[in-house]
Amino acid sequence: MQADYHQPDTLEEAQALLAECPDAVLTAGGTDLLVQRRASGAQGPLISLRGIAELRGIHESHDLMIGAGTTLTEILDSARMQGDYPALIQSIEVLGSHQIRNVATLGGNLCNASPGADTAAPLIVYGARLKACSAGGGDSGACRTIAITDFFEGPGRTSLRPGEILRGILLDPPSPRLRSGFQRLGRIQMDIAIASLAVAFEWDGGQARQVRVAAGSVAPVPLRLQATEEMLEATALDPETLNKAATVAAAEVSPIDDIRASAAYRRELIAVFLRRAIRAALEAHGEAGGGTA
Amino acid sequence: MMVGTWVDRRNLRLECQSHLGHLPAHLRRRTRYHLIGWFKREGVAVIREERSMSSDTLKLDEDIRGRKEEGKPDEGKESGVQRERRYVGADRPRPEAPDKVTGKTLYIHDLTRPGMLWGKIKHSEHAHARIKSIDTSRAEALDGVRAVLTGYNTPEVRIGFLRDNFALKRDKVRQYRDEVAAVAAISPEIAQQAVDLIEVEYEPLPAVFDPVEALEPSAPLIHERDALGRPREDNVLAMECGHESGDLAAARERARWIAEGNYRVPVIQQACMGTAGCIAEFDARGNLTFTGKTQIPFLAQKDFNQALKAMGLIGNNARVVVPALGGAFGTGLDTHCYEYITILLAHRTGRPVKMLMSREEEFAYLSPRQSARVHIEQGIDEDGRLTHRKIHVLQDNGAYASWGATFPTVMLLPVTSLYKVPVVHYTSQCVYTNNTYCQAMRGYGNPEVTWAIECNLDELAEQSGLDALELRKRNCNEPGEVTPMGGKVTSCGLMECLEVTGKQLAWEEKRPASQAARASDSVRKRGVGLASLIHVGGSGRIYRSDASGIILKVDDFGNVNVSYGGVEMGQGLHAALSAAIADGLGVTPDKVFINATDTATCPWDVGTHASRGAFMACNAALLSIAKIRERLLAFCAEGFAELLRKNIQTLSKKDASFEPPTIDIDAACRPDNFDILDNQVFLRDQAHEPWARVELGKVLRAMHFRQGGDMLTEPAFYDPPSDLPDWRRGIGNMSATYTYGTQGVEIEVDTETGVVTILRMVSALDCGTVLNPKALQGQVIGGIAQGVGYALYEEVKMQEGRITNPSFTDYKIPTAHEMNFPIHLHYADTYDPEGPFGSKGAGEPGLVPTAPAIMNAITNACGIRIRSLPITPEKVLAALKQR
Ligand SMILES: Cc1cc2nc3c(=O)[nH]c(=O)nc-3n(C[C@H](O)[C@H](O)[C@H](O)COP(=O)(O)OP(=O)(O)OC[C@H]3O[C@@H](n4cnc5c(N)ncnc54)[C@H](O)[C@@H]3O)c2cc1C
Repeated sequence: MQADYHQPDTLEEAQALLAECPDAVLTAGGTDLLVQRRASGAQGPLISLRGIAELRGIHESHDLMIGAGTTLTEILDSARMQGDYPALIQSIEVLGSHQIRNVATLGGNLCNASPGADTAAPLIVYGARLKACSAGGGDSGACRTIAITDFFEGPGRTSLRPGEILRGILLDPPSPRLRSGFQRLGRIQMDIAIASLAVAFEWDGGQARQVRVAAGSVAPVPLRLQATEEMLEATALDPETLNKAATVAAAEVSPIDDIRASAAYRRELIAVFLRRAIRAALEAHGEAGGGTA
Repeated sequence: MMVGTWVDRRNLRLECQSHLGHLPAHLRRRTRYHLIGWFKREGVAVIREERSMSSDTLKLDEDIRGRKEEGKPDEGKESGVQRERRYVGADRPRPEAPDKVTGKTLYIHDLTRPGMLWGKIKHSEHAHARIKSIDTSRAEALDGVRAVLTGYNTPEVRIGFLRDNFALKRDKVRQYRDEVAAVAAISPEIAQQAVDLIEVEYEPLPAVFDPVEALEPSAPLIHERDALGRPREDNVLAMECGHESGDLAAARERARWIAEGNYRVPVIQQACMGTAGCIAEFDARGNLTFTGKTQIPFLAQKDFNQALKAMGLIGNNARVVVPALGGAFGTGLDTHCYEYITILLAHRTGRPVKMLMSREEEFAYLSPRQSARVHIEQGIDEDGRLTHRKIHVLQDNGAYASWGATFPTVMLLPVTSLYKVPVVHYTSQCVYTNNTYCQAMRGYGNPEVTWAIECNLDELAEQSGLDALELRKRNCNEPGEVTPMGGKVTSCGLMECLEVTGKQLAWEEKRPASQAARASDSVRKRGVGLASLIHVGGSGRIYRSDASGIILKVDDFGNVNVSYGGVEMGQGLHAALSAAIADGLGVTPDKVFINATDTATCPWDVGTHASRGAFMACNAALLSIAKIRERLLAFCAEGFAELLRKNIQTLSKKDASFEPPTIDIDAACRPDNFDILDNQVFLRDQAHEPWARVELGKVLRAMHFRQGGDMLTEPAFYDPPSDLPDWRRGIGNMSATYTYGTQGVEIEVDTETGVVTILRMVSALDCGTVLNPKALQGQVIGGIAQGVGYALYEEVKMQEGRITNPSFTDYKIPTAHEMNFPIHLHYADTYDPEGPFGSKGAGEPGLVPTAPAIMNAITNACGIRIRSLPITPEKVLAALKQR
């Protein structure tokens, strides 16, 4: 494997390089990209984002911004992230291995646009927005914000335009009533998920509001499950409702048979995950849904 | 009542209160385990147990006496080997470990030669097709290409033990991976580019992928002719292996319960950390040096010599050199097309040629483990004793025969000899299909059939209401038994293994409790299960000679250089061998240097398989050591006194207070008064006197540098006492001794997802004396990891013969995360009379009973039984729904 390799120090330089050689490919941790290039034999130039300080770190103002180049280990180690976004943390805890998480970035996980990208479902339920910038932009000019549900277009395809670099992931500060959780299964621990699911909701006087449910590895893109959300909205999350919603969720996804599992099994998992994710999200706060002990 | 003290064979003092005055003679050399059992029966109370010596200085003398009393004296092996065991039995680091962990070890991947070229292969794109034409012109025109070979421009090189395979295919391809052309070029990239430029035109033929369909008369013939050119009628391999003993009809009559089932195991990959590769180079006279991954250097030499002959190099020789190996697990048990192709390329170009497999290539183009379908029926009588066992095995061989096709011969052992079973009917069939052809892997047929036997036994237990552990105990093997195939059981610790496993699992409480809780509505259900194994423990005679040669050379500096033809592939052979030599000869292990395995310098060895490495190497070494000691001590009888006088002179000069000995030194130098320990030769009766000991190297120099001098180089050839079985009738004592074991497991089933989690495992193994506890632990736990993979995760998936998961992304083996459960290891307190220091082979057993133990635990937890591996969550969930 041979290629021209550039490692710019600033976002601006990277954008300039990208504008200069449009066939260049961005690489952050390289944990997706290098595996793919080894298989395809592609030899185009690489622009590494690893030296760009602006892309790294978790920045707090009103919103929270996670630089696209922040490693998964850095996110795991952040007390703020652990406290406020447990579903995201749970998804990262089971992503790859220590070694992978030490170099893999959050931006890379999203931009690779795998239907099974583990951080996607949690970021969907947290209503993340993605900030993308192109040449001449810096922090102002040519930057735009994309809702995460508009970001994934198909396996390996995103709504990033040519020349655009993902700058960061924006998250709203969570309300104290936010409950969230994540479930997943691989054939072994270090495996692309057979299926995954995240939920988030406001637990308001024994009622769930603003329910969001998203699932991975069960459609061409990480999928928000709106029909399921509607089933759960403004309910007490009692067992009967959970069971009904689980059935809806299983029907709402559109998985395929592949080497890892059959479509039918994936649907069953989604139903189980929905119930478990909701229960675990409440239990983490010492709470339970209506009608359960 | 009186108090007595008895010391067991391992120097454990047992202080006992008893009405009996003495220990009966037949229990003298027994172990604590046997003693305690006897005490219990006789009402002897043990007051205190203590080790009378640290466990790593066990008496070697005991081993020797043990053998003689067992009635198996082997003078050559034992004479003079009469000292403390210091290194055998102790936790010692492997001699090769420092180089491995610092990256200094050279694997095939690291090796290069001046002017070396790289080889790549063009593989078939069809499972079954006629080759209409091959156009290599564009490949030949590519810059940097040095040779392009096909079956049409090279001599025909037939390979495989049935000679049904060809290095490069002509006329037709029979599987996806078939080799149709090959390139040598100045870089692997150019070689690959050239391969991609080769165009092959095929005419697809009807293909068959299911072994049952392949048996049908209408099935396409994979091989139209046999190796002698005679037309073939069907796809069944010309091999017979079966067994028939006892009256099946009468046994069925006698049986109170009978259980029957069809069990399946999939094709799996050996998944060695070090992928395969080789370098072939010719000298100007046409002799070949082949450096590559093999477990059978001498059989490879024979195979390659045959190829040289086919290439017109009559009378030339292939020298086989084995580099450091990153695991082999059976992949090195045969010679492979890519190796012959590398040889052909090297010969054509006159340059060294290297071929190296990437992980993905290894998945796609190397032979995995054979799949099998096993039909089994077993019965028990009113008392829970086995009445009969009837087994038929159908193996999907794939397109060509490698040693995987002979799995039924090794299956013969568990089929006839795991537990006492008086009536055995066994038939086997191996059939060609257009699937990838398969080869050997650790356990060699044993895990495949043990999966059926041990699951089916639990089905019998379930049916009869008899406890599954009790059922096994009632049918447990015993020392002195001769099994239906003629297997002579010498040492056997299976009962201890069963008991310990039961105890460690808290079987008596948990097994019934879990069964009772099956009906509860808890989502997570727990269960315990176990399964046992028998395996060859004293090598396995499957070839005309089952011997191992060794040469020990003691040099002027007291170093012991070892030339042994077996292969260290990561299993710890060198650790065991250096400890055995150190203890046997009386040197420290750092003085033992084991040479690279090389057919030019090492004596013949049949190969490192059948868990035979340490058993064979150490036994051969002990034979050689006995000769070395004899010659050395004979020299001492004439020359030692002079060395002692020099000693005394030097000491007197150095130390004014030194008092020279007053005894008659010449008289003290009697042949029976010498010993060697810690690299020093000394007088036994003056062992504590500094003047009475001389450094081994010095003695060697005295022996060497004199008129008519001599040096100590001793070859030895050990051929174990076993028979080459009559495979058709399935009769013969195929191994010098047998290894036993039981594994137990507690699991949890998530009944909503079907996920099975292992909570803990117990492994009780009867492999005689433990040569190196650390190394053995690695072997056992590594085996269990492979067993867990076989049980829960692994399967080479094929669609119309094409492998669809040829990478670690898609083919999953357990990682540290899946193995993150406690494993209790126990070794039965046995001593084998034929084994070196009482030990038996332990390389393969680790993975043999793991899968059935896990399945039996799942059944205990939730009442389902899955009969095909791997036990995926999806299968579990489907079975739960059907319940
Ligand atoms: C052994 C192994 C195990 C794995 N396990 C998992 C798992 O369990 N779950 C999971 O979801 N993934 C897994 N992965 C995949 C991978 O590690 C993750 O997707 C990771 O987050 C990718 O991040 P990266 O920084 O390495 O991306 P890279 O490989 O560097 O990039 C991925 C893609 O994103 C693009 N890109 C990266 N950064 C930007 C940016 N700032 N702007 C625009 N485009 C960008 C690149 O051009 C490339 O196309 C695994 C990978 C391996 C090798």
